[in-house]
Amino acid sequence: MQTHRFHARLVIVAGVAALWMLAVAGRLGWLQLYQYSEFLGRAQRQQQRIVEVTPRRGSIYDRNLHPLAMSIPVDSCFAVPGEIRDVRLAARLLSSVLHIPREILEARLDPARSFVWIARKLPPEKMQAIAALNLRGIYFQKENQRFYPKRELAAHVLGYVDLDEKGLAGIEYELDGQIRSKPEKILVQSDARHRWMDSGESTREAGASVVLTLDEKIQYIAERELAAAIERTHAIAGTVVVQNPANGELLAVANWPRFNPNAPGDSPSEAHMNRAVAALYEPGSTFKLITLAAAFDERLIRADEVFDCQNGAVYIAGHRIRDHKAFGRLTVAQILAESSDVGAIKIALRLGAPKFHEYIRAFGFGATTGVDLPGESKGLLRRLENWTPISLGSVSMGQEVGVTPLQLVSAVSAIANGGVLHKPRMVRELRRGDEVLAGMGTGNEEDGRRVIRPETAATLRRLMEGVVLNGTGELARLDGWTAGGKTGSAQKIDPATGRYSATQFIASFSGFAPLNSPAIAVLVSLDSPQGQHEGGQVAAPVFKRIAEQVLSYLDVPRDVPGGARVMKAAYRQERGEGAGSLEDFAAVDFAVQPEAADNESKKEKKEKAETTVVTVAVDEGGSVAAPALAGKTMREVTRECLALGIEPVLVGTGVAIEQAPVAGAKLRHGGKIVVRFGAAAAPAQRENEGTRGARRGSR
Amino acid sequence: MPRRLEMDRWLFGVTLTLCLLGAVMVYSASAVTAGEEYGHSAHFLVRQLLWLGIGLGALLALMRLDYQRLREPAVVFSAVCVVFVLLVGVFFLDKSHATHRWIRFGSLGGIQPSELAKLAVILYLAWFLGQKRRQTATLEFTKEDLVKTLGPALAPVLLFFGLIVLQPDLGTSVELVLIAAAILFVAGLSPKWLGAGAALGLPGLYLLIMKVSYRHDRVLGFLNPEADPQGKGFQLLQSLIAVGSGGFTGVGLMESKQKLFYLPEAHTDFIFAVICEELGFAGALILITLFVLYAWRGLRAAFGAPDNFGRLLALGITAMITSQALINFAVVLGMMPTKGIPLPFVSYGGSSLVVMLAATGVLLNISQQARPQDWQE
Repeated sequence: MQTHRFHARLVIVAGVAALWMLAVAGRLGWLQLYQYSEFLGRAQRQQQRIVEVTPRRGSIYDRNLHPLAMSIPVDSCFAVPGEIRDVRLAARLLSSVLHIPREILEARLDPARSFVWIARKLPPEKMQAIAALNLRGIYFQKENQRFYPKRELAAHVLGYVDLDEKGLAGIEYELDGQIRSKPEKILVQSDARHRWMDSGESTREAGASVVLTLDEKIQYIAERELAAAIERTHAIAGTVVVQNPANGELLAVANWPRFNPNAPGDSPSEAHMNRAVAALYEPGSTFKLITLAAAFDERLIRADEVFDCQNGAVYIAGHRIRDHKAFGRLTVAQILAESSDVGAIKIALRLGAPKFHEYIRAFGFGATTGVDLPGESKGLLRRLENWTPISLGSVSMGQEVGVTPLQLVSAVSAIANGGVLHKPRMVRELRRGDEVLAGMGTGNEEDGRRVIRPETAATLRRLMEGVVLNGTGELARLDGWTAGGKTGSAQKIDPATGRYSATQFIASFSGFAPLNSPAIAVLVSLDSPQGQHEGGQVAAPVFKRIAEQVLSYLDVPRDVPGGARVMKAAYRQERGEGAGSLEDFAAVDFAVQPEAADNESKKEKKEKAETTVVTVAVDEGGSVAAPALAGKTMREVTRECLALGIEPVLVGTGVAIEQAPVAGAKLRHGGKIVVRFGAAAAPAQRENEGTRGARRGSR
Repeated sequence: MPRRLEMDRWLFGVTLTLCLLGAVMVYSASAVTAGEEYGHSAHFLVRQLLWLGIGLGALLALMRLDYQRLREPAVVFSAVCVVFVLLVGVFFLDKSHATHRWIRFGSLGGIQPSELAKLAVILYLAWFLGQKRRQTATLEFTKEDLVKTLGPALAPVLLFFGLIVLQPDLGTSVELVLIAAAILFVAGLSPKWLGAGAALGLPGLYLLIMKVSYRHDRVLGFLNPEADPQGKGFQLLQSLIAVGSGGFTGVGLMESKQKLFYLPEAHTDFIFAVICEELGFAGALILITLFVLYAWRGLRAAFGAPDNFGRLLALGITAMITSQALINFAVVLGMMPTKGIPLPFVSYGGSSLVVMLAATGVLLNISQQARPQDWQE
């Protein structure tokens, strides 16, 4: 019985213990299972310090993988104020090294804070000086600093970053999400005594690298020539864009004024503007290309069609518009070459506003191009219903419309490549290491949008070469390559008066080369050049210098013998004489080397099977190179020779089959050339290698 | 002895498992701190293993020693006297953490006489009450019992209690009283006496807590750890974060973050928090189960013990170890105010481990002599 009682009490004690055990187990379950996520969060919050360390950005390369922007490790200094024994002393010592006022440092070293930056991105010598102080509670953290090894080169495209390595402009901004490494803040494990266990650097993955379409050599050429032009003309700003017309890839985007992205704060913010995409200007005469393209494409005009330019004045909707020169009758080709405003207006009137507007939009004006660059302007194109009666005329010569250099160069590229408008491309691909993350498209034909027929584009190219050879753009003529282009000299709108300024111009030249398979399209625009202000005078030479260097760099085969000073003399002569009898000269086309001719130009040639060709080469002095007359009619030969100031001696009937002296041989002015005519059996003779001439249609 | 003696394999196995688990966890909890402060990550592990060896030696020796031989008054009174001398002696030794708890042996650690005091009290009460209960059936609520039984029984308990409170180590002294109360209760103490004791003791305990600022702070920290997370509530809050962030499976052995300076006393009094964090709910339940098994085997020994002395001795030892574990769990889990009570066999601590293993040796001997048929009574 005694034992029994003992046992009963033992069971009670065991019961109490068991209850306690159960309570402990229950509590354990409550803490570890039910409240797990809350405690886990609390543990992580206190164990991990989120330190905003600048992320490692991917590099930016040009198309040949030359680095344009990279991140390099630098040291930043931070403090754990709680560990510092003597804040005043520490502040005084740090102040002597960093030249930050002691009071500021003292305030920063507030012991209540667990983490504070002392100085970010220190130069190595300062870092060593601080480390030598051997202060308690002062630490270094590796950070990354953006570095642009080529300084100003392509600065507007690349953009720049802020102290936290966040992209603020250019590609750095546009692709910030990809270039920046994913964890923008890193977690640092710290213990209760604020000792840092793991800086976590190794776990972070660098951001994606960007390969641009840009070629640093072409970019360098463009920037150098732009800078030289600015120096020469005292223009306040300028832009050069070089594009591959075949796929829209941008090979160079140069702007003035420029800046050093390593220290963007040292330059005024105007210098950061990427004018190629953001600057809006009235294109002026360059826009006549669009006017003509629309009219050709609608088959409303022919190249050789003559318009009466009314001695330089036209009335439209009651407004008298004056040409820059009093032109009489001009062919369409001459209207472009001489840049007649009246001619352009008359063509636009034939086209009509709705059609014209349609083509302007088709060429991409009034909308962003979608290039991978930030800050793009969509330009200024009034909606058709808002056009005033005078708008049609104004827009036809490039007024009342605002474009960006990029829009314009893309439109020129479309003409150059046979009529397909490509989206301008700045980025080729994103990659991480050797792995390509995202190709940005290869720029195939299919990517583009056809805006004009190939024949329209071919005609326009011929006309644009006329501008370079015999028109306002003569200074753009290249040594060694054919080229086409159009000048523009747009009056700026004076912000003070709201009217066109008489002294401030935007001089521009947009062109491409070589003629038959263009490798580059180039736009040069100079804002407010002093003195000479016409595109043909100030912008065209820049085009020439850039295009020659770039074509040479790209190993584009020459299609004109280098150094030959050749010109189409007959065409030139007629310029002064009025257009009366010269319709036949309207279609100006120039021969190319056969191997350089693409399919399209062969086809063109086939279409013109019956076209006769007159090749004229004029030497510097009073002598004339004998024209190639084979295949031409008697009448054509006569006119050709008279135009050159030589006397033809005609033998036989039919088409010219033989001549003496042979084409290209030197002839005095007033000399004689014997031409024998016969059955048109032989195909039209090719131009002599040593000459450069013109074919002219005869119908 | 009528039967052949067989070792209680369960009890022995459980004890050894707890010790080895403890060694592993001591290493895990202390490696980083030890590496930083002593230049050697195994600093505490080596010492723990050394003490474990000594403790196991004591266990094996006492297991082989018939517990009846502890019944001699000479043994009991020498134990009480030695403990008394040691408890007084610590006041003349160096302080550690502003307390007089330790008798140190160089860098090896030391002995806390208060640990021995628990053992001495158990031995004394088992001997005294076992003797008494041969004469009287129960301890009724009478003056006679007070003078003849309760008084002599409690005299050394209260003496040790007072000395330990003065160290000061309130946790151990309260535990001492709890063990004594359990033994007295099982020995037949009237619940009225327990009520009277509580009525006298609790106001005193209240004063001991409220008059001493750090205890006051601990209680406040326990009641509302969030009020001062960096101060009074820090230890408890860090403990709860460690436990809670372990989840079901834990963060993995050696992976605890909380042990890295967040959790004070991670390898001693709060080692259970590290276990919870690293091994999770599953690991903690296994640990609790080990103590349940220990309690079961200990009570089984008490049930089956051939005499009252054995019963009370087995009960006292089981109560000591189990209550200490339960108090430790409760403290770590925020169910009780913080006390400096280590987890038996597991926490780092030389004398505690040796005392616990020695006591287990006695318990094993009693268990060997237990008669299983007593369960049926």
